[in-house]
Amino acid sequence: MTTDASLSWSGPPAQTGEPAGSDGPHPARRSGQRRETRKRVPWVLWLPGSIAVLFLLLPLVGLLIRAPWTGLAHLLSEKSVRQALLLSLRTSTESTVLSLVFGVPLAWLLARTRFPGHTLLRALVTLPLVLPPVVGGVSLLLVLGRRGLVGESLESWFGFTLPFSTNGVVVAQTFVAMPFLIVSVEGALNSSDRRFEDAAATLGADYWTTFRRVTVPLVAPAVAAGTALCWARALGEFGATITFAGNFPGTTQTMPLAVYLALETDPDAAIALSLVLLAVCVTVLVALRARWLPGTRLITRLRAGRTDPPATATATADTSMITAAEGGGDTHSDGSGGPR
Amino acid sequence: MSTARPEANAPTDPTRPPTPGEAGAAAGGADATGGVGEGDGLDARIVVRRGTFLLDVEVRVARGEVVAVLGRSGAGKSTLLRALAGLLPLDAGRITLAGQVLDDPRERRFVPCEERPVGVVFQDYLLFPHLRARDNVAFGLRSRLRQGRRGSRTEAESWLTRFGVGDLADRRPAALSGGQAQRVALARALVTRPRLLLLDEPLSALDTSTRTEVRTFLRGVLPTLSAPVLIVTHDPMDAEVLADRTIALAGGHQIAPAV
Repeated sequence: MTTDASLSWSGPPAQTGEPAGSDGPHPARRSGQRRETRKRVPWVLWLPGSIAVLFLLLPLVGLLIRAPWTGLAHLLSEKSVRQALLLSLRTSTESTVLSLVFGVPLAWLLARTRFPGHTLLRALVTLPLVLPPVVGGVSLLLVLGRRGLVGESLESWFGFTLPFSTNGVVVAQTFVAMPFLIVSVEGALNSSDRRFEDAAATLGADYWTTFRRVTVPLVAPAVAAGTALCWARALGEFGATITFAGNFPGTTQTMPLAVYLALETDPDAAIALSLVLLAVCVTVLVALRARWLPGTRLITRLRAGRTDPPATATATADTSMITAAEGGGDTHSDGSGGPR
Repeated sequence: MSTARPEANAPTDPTRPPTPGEAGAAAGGADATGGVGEGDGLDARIVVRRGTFLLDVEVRVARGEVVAVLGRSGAGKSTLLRALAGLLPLDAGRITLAGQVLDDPRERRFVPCEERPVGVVFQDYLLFPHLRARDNVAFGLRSRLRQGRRGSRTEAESWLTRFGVGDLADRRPAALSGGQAQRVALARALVTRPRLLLLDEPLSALDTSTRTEVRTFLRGVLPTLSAPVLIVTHDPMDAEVLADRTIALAGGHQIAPAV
């Protein structure tokens, strides 16, 4: 009798007032809201929105329409094209690896530690995101060029020159692309629930174990997304590369440079090269979406089978947390789900 | 002995960690030094200052006793819990557990969280979302007791079975209901055989129907533990049903000895 009374008395406040419930809106309610607003969207927003879509898509459509489909195979089999493509793939992959090795630790430091000048450092590190790449290229020349602040010593001591070499391409691309990875990973670390790290500590996990088994898996999707973003940015790098590394076929002429050059001499070749870049980017994008988009995850989750109804606030909080942060495990379930 | 045959202990005395019991028997002199709980329970005076807020409270929990700390949000319950778990150092006071000093600022002694024999069930359980239930439970065995992967999984499964969720070992936390997650979280906290179990609002994240079920479950399990149990809650009814004794907190201080 008393228990019943207590239940009806204590139930409601627990559901509304506790932090677990306030973590995020209930998925069902959220999607309901979204549907509602979609119905009410006024033409004032529809019209400019549609124009934006046209503006963004038309150039791509134009590219597809004007592409020299018949001569495409011939154009793409040319040595210079293959050279540029391979160089691009190689350098952008190398600069992505560099970005991972140096960028992820930096992201962790920025997200998890506080020191004097933290805010300033964070702003400076992400400066290349907004800096015109050409300016980046010029700055790199001033520092790492043959007569640069560091470059001069590099050459006289080690006989090592960066500008106008393939390594220079990698440096230029890393300079421009690494901030994308840093921002992505740092954001995920900031928004990831640090109480999971507390939980790991109460289970006897030291710092390194926690980092390895909890922190990193929880932000794995962000690391993957940041890596892809970083790679794509490096692949498309133009300004810093041409300024710092020049435009030598075979050593520093990457795809974007080749496209630009071809446009002046052989427009068809330029279109063909652009198509290749477009195809590569679309492939990356599709691969990303299939793996990391919440929608697909929902399917995975449903496939995993949930026999019991998700119990209220907690289940909801857990679910949204996972949507934001589930890591390597997802690759796992995707792999097992694929063949079926 | 305990690690060699975990299942052998299971049916008769499911959740009772043998080591504390033996330690308690060995430290029989504990009775000479003081009253109940001095030797093998929790004895703490906790003083933590956070800005203008001051938590100053004394907590004593004997072995096998379940004590609830009752208070509204902002009363200092979470701070108390974090201090006991080792996630927050004391500003003054002293924490002694089973005869071991865990925190004493005057003696500059502080045992970090990962080295304390304290199990915690968090408010929303904080089961690692990327690990299956089995690996969530095995986590502590691997990191705290340094057990191998296979052995820790087997032991984790036996704990899950003990709590009636053995068939869910392969699930990830997202595919567990609130009540199931609670059981997995309890198994995870107990598997390393802690000498103190802390429960943070164990029922607040559940809906009404699940609450009854989980409350019944906890009421059955908690008294069988030999370790002292401390429950933090805002709900007087939870405190009354689950605990032997209640400490009421308000504004960082104990307000009245409970009945």
